[in-house]
Amino acid sequence: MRLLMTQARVELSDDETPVSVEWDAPAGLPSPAPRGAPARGAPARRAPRRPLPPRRVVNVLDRWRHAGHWWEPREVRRHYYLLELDDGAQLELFREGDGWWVARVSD
Amino acid sequence: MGGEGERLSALLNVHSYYSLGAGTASPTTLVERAAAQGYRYLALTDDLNVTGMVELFRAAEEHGIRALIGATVPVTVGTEAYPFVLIATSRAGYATVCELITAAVARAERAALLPELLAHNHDVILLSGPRDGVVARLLAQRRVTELQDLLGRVGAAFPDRFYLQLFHDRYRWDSRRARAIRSLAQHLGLPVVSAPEVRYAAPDDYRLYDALTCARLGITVQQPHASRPQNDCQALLSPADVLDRLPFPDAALNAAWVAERACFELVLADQTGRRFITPPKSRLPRGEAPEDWLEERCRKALAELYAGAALARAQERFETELAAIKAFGMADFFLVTAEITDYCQRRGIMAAGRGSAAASIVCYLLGITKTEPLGRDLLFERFMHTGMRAMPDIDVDIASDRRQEVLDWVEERFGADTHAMVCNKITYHLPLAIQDLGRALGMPPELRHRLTKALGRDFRWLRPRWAAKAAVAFLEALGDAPVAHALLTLLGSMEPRHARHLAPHSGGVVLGRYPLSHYSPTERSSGGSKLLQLDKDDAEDLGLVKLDLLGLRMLAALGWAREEVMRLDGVWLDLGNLPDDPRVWDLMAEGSTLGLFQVESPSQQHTSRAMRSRNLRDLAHQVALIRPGPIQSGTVHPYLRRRQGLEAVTYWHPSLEPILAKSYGVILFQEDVLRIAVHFAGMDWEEADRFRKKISGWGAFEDIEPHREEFIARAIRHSGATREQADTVFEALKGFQGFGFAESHAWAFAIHAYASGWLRVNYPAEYLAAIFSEAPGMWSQSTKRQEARTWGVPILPLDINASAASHFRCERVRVDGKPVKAVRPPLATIKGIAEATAVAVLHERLQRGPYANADDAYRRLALTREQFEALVRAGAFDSLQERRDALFRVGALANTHVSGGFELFTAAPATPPLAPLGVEGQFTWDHESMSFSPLEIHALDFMRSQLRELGCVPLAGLRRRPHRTTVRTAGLVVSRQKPPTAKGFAFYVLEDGPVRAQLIIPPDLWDSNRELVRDAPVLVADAVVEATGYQVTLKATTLAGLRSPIAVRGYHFG
Repeated sequence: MRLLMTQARVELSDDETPVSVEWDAPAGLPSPAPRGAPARGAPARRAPRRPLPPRRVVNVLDRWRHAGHWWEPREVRRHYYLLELDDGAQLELFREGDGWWVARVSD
Repeated sequence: MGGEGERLSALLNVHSYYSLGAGTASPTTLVERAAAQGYRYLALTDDLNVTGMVELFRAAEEHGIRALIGATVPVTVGTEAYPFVLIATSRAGYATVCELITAAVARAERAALLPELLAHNHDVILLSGPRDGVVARLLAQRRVTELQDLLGRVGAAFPDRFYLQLFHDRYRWDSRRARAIRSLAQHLGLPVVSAPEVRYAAPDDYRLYDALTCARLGITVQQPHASRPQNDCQALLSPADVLDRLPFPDAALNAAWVAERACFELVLADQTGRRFITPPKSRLPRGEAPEDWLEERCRKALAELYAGAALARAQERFETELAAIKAFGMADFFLVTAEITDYCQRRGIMAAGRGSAAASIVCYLLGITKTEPLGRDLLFERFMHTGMRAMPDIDVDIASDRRQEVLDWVEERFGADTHAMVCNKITYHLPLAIQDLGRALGMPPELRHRLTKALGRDFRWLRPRWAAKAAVAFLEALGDAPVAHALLTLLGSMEPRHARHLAPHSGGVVLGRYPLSHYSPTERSSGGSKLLQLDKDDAEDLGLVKLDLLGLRMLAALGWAREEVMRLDGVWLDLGNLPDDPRVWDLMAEGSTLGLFQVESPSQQHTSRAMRSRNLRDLAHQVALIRPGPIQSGTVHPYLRRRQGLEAVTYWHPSLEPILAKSYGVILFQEDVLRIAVHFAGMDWEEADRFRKKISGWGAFEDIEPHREEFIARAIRHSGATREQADTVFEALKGFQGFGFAESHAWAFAIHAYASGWLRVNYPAEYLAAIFSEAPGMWSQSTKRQEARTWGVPILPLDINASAASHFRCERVRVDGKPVKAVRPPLATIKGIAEATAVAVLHERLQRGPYANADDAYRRLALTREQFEALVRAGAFDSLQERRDALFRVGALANTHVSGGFELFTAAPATPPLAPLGVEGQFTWDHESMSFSPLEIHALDFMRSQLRELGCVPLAGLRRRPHRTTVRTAGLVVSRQKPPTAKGFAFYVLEDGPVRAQLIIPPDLWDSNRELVRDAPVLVADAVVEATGYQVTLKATTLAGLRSPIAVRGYHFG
């Protein structure tokens, strides 16, 4: 299982259920800084995010809602979905406002 | 019930704010929303509580849905407590629920035991509980075998009445959980029921629910907790939404089935619509019927108390009352009340009936009241009439210091099962809401305190919903901190009468004929009182009889003064039959009424001068005059002007003259409203009583405007009044809205007021000792000490070798060679010295002689260091050694000795030479220790040079100033009033020695000096002298504050 917290693009059915999900691959692991940079305290370099192909949803396993942090200027209200994808992976996805986010994926 | 499976028609697990910290909506709001959503049934199942029941049934009747009653009760299984939901299917089932709650709340863990649940199964439907219930939790822990065994036992105890509860709050895995519970039920052969747990009305209320949950758990919103809501899905949602979550037609059908089975009528009514009244059984001699015994006892008293023409009138009135009492079946009620007042009389406890009961000759003949009603023309119909639907009130005032003794006897006499206090529903006002919600939001205590203090008297009484009106106070205390917005939003979302907790009523005792568990659970309050979960109105609606046994401090004071008179002079006073003493009326006419019952406030002092009462009738009028009803209706000034002959007495209509002649043509009493409704508008007594109730009451007035046209039409028809006359009378009645006295009540209080004045004139030292001891009335101990200078009563210093334990006592002393009586404060008046400690000090003194000094006391008394220091700082050793020396000795001894024993290590060091404390130091320490100083000094005496520099005229000098003069003066603030009826004006009392002046602060000056008038102990005012003489009144134009060695807490209102 991997925690992602990356933005997603979601296609919805008529009843507002996700039917396909597309998201960016996470940034790669940090790699050494380029030659010539200071040895200590140098910033690590990450591979850039890259888009992955859309994945089809074969089953909505669970859905739930989360709300909180109402005492702060930006209240959290999320609609979560646990989806089974066409390759057998399970994807935890949530919608917050107009945006969709992939929270984690189990494959 | 066709089609019930397609949509949910019943909500079976709904919580109101009577779940106390675990719900946010009133039963009425929940019913309104349920009805709007199309539900047909709503079961209120508050946590260990049925307080919302009567409101639920009333609201359900109004909105056309069926109310069901039950409760959520935690049950201990093994080591854990799990909530089960019980729903009553009959009145007997309701009693079962009440009994189980009573058993649960009697335990510290507030949970029933499993065997108790299994035994309390009569006429009750049981649901297995929501998310934190036993099914969901044991399934989550995979303890399936254990769960199956438990469910089998419970199912056997509740055959066909045990359901596995399905819920779905849109939490993670809730769908799977619901399916698992349904599968388990099918496996066990148990039915399931759709019963989502509702904790608030609308989704947005989840924030308040979350904050209240945090407050209840003692955590802040930053701290996670399993009991906190994870989303906003426990609102009262539509049936379609519930079905979307729980798509099980059988479960929805079962909800309707459960609801149908659980419907029953709780509030019983006979065919005429009257409530059943179930008074307790009285103790009857020779097996007589209660009506016969009541009649026999009253006829005997009639012959003793009346003669001649008065007897004939009394007999006629008695027959009328007896008929009404018999019609109501209330003979037992009167006899039981008489048993209580008889007990008080036998034990020498001051007690007297008051309120409308004082108009009843039966109450007078039974000795319940001391007011003879016929000679005073008191209206029986205010108390009781044959058309009444509600219980008549009998309120008995009991000396506050012995009230508990009476309550204990009542419990013993009537049995623990049939006796309890009604509760008060303590609802949120801003300060309390700020404390609870502010704590949940993580506001530190100092910040909450600062905000609460900033509310001042302007906003303290606001309901949280209208917190935005106090924005200025929020800005002052919180600035633009983000928490201010969150707090204001939460407060604004609270319902106006959100209940926080239940507390014992000040005097309402319920005596039942049957065990009270038939009506309500009972529990012990923190003070040990046995408490119903019903308030007085709810108890009455259920047919219970309530007696108000109220503690009255003034009766305790009168009782103590009588004891002191007996001790010093050997005279036993009959305080109900004191001789008429012109000096009492002269004293009142001067306005010198501080310390007197009901007439001691600044406004009453002014009224006393204008009234110049000369008899009890005048005094009863005066007592009734300064009340919100007469004040708001503009009665006060016409009454006083007409009484003084400054204005002609007129009547709005000739038919009103017999009613209003005694009050110079104005409406003064509740009885006047009743009589006008009957004799002018032609209502019967029942209609008139309903009309009066619409007008009277505290705060929650009904709008009587819709009744105007009907009133006018009836008055024209019945009395031949013109439309204008009838309209004027209606206006006057409308103006009387607010609390006004019953005439009978005013008479009952006038008798106590006269007794207090009589003692003040004839036994000032004894009376002063009594009002110091019992602290009735509004004035602080400090102001009473200053007033003692006017009364000529010396105050002796506190003395460990002379003071009593808990009461101020009189002593004969010589002043300037003349014998006088003086008053000495007791040891228990010291802060930190409890009565038991004071008694221990006294016992030791009586057994082994006076104390020689602080060292001697330290060796003889096993007290804490703090207690010794409190004694020293209050001056208890002043007659033996200097106060600072004594304090040093106590500190030194505490390091080397165990008090009341031997030295630990070595002798205490010798006392070094210490400077004496000085008068100002003594005065300040006295105030810190006792809230007053026996010294004949005032705080302003230490500020004289400063006040002279400021050009302040002493208050005593203002008495000779001409009217409308502008002066600068100063005084210690000893009373702060800003009544809601005063249109923004505030009334402060400034004190300088034994002289006081009333300072009127206009609204604009108040607004520009909010913090000053809230915080300054001493005010310097430029003011216009409005009235002079004994009572000086000033109208402030500018204000400034000064520091003072002391501040007086004083009287606060508004």
